[in-house]
Amino acid sequence: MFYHVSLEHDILLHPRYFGPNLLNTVKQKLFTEVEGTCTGKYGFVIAVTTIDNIGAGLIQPSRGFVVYPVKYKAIVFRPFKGEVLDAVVTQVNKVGLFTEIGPLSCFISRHSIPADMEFDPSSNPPCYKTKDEDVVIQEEDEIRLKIVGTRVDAKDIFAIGTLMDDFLGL
Amino acid sequence: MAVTDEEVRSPDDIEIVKLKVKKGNVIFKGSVLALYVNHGDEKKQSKKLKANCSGIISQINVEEGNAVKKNDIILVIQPQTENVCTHPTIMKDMCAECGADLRRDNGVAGDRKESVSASVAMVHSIPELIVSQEVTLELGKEDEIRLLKQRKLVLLVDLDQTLIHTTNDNIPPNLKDVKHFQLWHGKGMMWYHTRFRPFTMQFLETVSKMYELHICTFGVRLYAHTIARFLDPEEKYFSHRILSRDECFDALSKTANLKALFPCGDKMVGIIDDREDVWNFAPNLIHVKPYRYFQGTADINAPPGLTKSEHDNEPVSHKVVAHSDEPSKVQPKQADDGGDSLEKSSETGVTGDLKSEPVLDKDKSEASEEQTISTDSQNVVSNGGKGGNEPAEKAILETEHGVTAKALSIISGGSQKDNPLAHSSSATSSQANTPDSHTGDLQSSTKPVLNTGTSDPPGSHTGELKPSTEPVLDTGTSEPPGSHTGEVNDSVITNDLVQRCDSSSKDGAEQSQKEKAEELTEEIEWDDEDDYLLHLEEILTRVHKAYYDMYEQSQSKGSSKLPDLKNIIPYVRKKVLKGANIVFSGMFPLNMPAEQSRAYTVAVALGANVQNDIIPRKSKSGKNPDATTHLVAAKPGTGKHKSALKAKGIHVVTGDWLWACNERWEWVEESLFQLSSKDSSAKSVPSPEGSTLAKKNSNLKRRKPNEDIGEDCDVFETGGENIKNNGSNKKQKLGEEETASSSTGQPGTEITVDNDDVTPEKSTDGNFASSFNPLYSFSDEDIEFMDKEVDEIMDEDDDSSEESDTERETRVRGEVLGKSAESDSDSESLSGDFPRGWKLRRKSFSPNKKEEVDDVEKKTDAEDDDETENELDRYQNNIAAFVGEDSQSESSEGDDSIGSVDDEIAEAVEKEFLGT
Repeated sequence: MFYHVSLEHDILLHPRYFGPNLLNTVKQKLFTEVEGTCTGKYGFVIAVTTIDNIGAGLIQPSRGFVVYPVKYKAIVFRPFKGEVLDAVVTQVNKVGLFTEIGPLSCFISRHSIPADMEFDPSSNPPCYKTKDEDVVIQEEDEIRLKIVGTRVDAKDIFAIGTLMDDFLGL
Repeated sequence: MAVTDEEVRSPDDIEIVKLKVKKGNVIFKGSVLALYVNHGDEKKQSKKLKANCSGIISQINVEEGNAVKKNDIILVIQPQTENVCTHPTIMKDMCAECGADLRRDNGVAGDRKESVSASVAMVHSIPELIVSQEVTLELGKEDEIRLLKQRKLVLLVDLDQTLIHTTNDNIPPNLKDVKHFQLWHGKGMMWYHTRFRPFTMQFLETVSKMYELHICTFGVRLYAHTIARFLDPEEKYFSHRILSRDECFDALSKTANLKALFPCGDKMVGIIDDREDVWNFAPNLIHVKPYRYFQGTADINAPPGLTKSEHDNEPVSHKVVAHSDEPSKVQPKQADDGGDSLEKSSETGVTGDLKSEPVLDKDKSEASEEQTISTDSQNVVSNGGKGGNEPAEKAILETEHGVTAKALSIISGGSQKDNPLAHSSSATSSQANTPDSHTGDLQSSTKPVLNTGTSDPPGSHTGELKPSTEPVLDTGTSEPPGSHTGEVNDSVITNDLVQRCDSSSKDGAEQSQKEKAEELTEEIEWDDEDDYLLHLEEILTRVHKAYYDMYEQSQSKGSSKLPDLKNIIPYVRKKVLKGANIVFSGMFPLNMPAEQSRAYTVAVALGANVQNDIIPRKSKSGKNPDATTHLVAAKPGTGKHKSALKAKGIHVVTGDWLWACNERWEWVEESLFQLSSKDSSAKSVPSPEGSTLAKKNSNLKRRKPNEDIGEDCDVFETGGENIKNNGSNKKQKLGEEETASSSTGQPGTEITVDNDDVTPEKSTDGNFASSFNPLYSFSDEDIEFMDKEVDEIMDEDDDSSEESDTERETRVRGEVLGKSAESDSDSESLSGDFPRGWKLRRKSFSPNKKEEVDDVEKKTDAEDDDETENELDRYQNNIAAFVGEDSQSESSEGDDSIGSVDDEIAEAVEKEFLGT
């Protein structure tokens, strides 16, 4: 699910950037440091939409670096159990499917793939397909899946999905 | 509470259209179990049979298409409450079936709440994914059936030194068929240069029809995958079957993973690898002759502590296969023509040359890592402009570089004016790491050359550039890294560059005075005689055939047991020397039991019968099966040797014969390995890997050993002359060589058993390096230190040299140059934002920039700058978008810059997050 949330981030700036462009540098640095990252709590930071406030910079003693606390709003993507999402298949093997939902990786075990679909390793690329081959799931295909579990680490989220439900799959 | 099985009964007289579940599936309440139609329903409208509880399907009584009467049991569900999932598949400590998190709170990876049945990592590249034993067996069985159906076997393929050879050393960038790439290594990006073994593609193509190929390497994952992408861009050979160091259970052995990958046993698994120890000397391993292409680098990915360096000290040298014009040979002095004819030369012409110069082709000699520049190419070279351009372009095609690299190599193509003498002298006088020169020298020495250059009208600006540019080779080494990113290597490279520029341009100056513009063809193609993969292909074909012959035999006997490759491979190997009765002489110490010697084991493995003493044939016609057929002797004159000669009909061969047989799995023609009586100094030491037919071959032809490692690559090819002659006193000989060059081709095409050639060379080998180049004996630190010095000097001189250069260029080429110089400074000024490497690269670029600049280069440069500007613009735009709010929020000092609505949402969201 996507959210628009307020977040904070401290920017550590080298003294060489002290100058007329200082604030621009801070903003630029915020984008590069924050966008595309993942926190377990909020999920993946997709894009910074607004920078609300750049606080007073604090020069660090003996280093000369300055720390700016920045408040910003960003669009974040946080997957939840039970959520239905569209994914792109990245790898197909005998144990299951690996997919990506934007920044989120998701694994679908072969047991969670409809029973009528069989793994066919001999085709190139390998795929899961029904006997009559009217449904073929292979790499780069877009499928719809349901998340049944998420592993939320400090810096990453991983999901387990399933295709065993109505309207899931290709 | 006793859990009773839930029986799903037919609601009506129905016909099952489709079953949606299989036995063992986990289902939830409301899951669709099957589609059915009511019996007699005309419309055939299918209805869904849904589960009314969750659990595991324990029994299915019907099949698709079956008709079922009302109240018949269709299937049985074993109801499950929470946590009854056996978690047969686990990904990152999460059950992939039910999604349950099995990791302890705040636990680390692998720290699970409960023990699970899953334990086997079945997928090569994803060790986090583990499945239970039952599932692996099931999957393994499926694999086995599929393989048999396709009549394939499994082949585990090692990368380093089996299919490829990779080095981290600096090598010339325009080497033919060498891939360059960068990977993150520790603190920085590291350059890798990979050469495929000859015939690799053909090998993969053929073998993939008989084998399912898996990569099994001790390289890190990224490396393995990068190489796999090179080898197999369409992923048709290896797909995802890549096992790398990251997934290896054991740092020293690859065997441990076999059980996981092939849970049903490794009966159908064959292995090709250049080292046996990592496989515990498994019987299903086909030991591959290690592939070496770059000197000084064995297996960069050898397991720690097992680093294989046995042969690393042996010089590997390559002769440059020069692509050059035949006519140039005829008219070596028409140097000026070269420039003119640049455009005329055609690709076909060049390749034609290659062929038309038999010397070049045949002459493949093994020398050091550096290129040997044959003196015969020198002639060619002298007006080499003709051939020059073309090979350069070729090189471009082959090296996978970006535009810059292309530009550069084109440039260097143009710069081939330097005659080979320059190279040789640069090889001798300033070896790569000698910091004996600095840019100032470069400048001064460059100038005269330039002048001569300018006087050549046809050369156009490329021509003028030539003398100042380093010899092609050198450009090569330094360029590609520089052009790519050149972070890591840069300082070193710059050093080399400077030195080389210096020496070469000096020499170039002399030369150009003597003989105006001699041009050196640019194509650098090291000869590579390794044809092992052809043999390996043949071996694998035989193994495959033997396996399926055996399989069919056992099938026809009604046995369902699969033949085991662990038996088949030794069996096939044993047929190689079947019937040979071998006696060893001098191959191992007398006090050592024969059974412990390598020669003995190899001979026995090849199926030969090893005898202790010569058993002569009894009568001329009669065939005694026990009669000795071969005497494998290390040196002539032993008692056995004499009696073998007396007995007649016994092949007296050197140990190399045995190694060659072992390498090829073939009964090699003995006459190639006759033990000659003069042969006393021949390599008697058993070197199973080193001495092979090919090796011998190249040894014979090798005229001159290596010089310096990896960096400076100029070895002079002195025609038919022996190493002795051109060893340490090479310098003096340079002049002669130049003229004598045309004689180059000692016709040596055929393998002769005469070792006389080899012997003297061998003897010089040891101290040759130091006699030839004293720097060779410098330690790494010394060299590094020198590098540093040069670097510093260069940095200092950077500006001034740049300027004068620019002036010159402006003079010569007008605006174009000025422009490039500007753009250069532009980028420098921007560099504040750049990561370290960028700046470095710029720097290293600048000294030689004007020398090399030609149109393409400029273009790319301009593009570069454009890009950065664009980025800047974009960034500014981005910022602009925020400026409004920004100033606002700053002026109001952010007290309430957060909208209240947003605030609410944020809070709500936060609550939700915390709730989960």
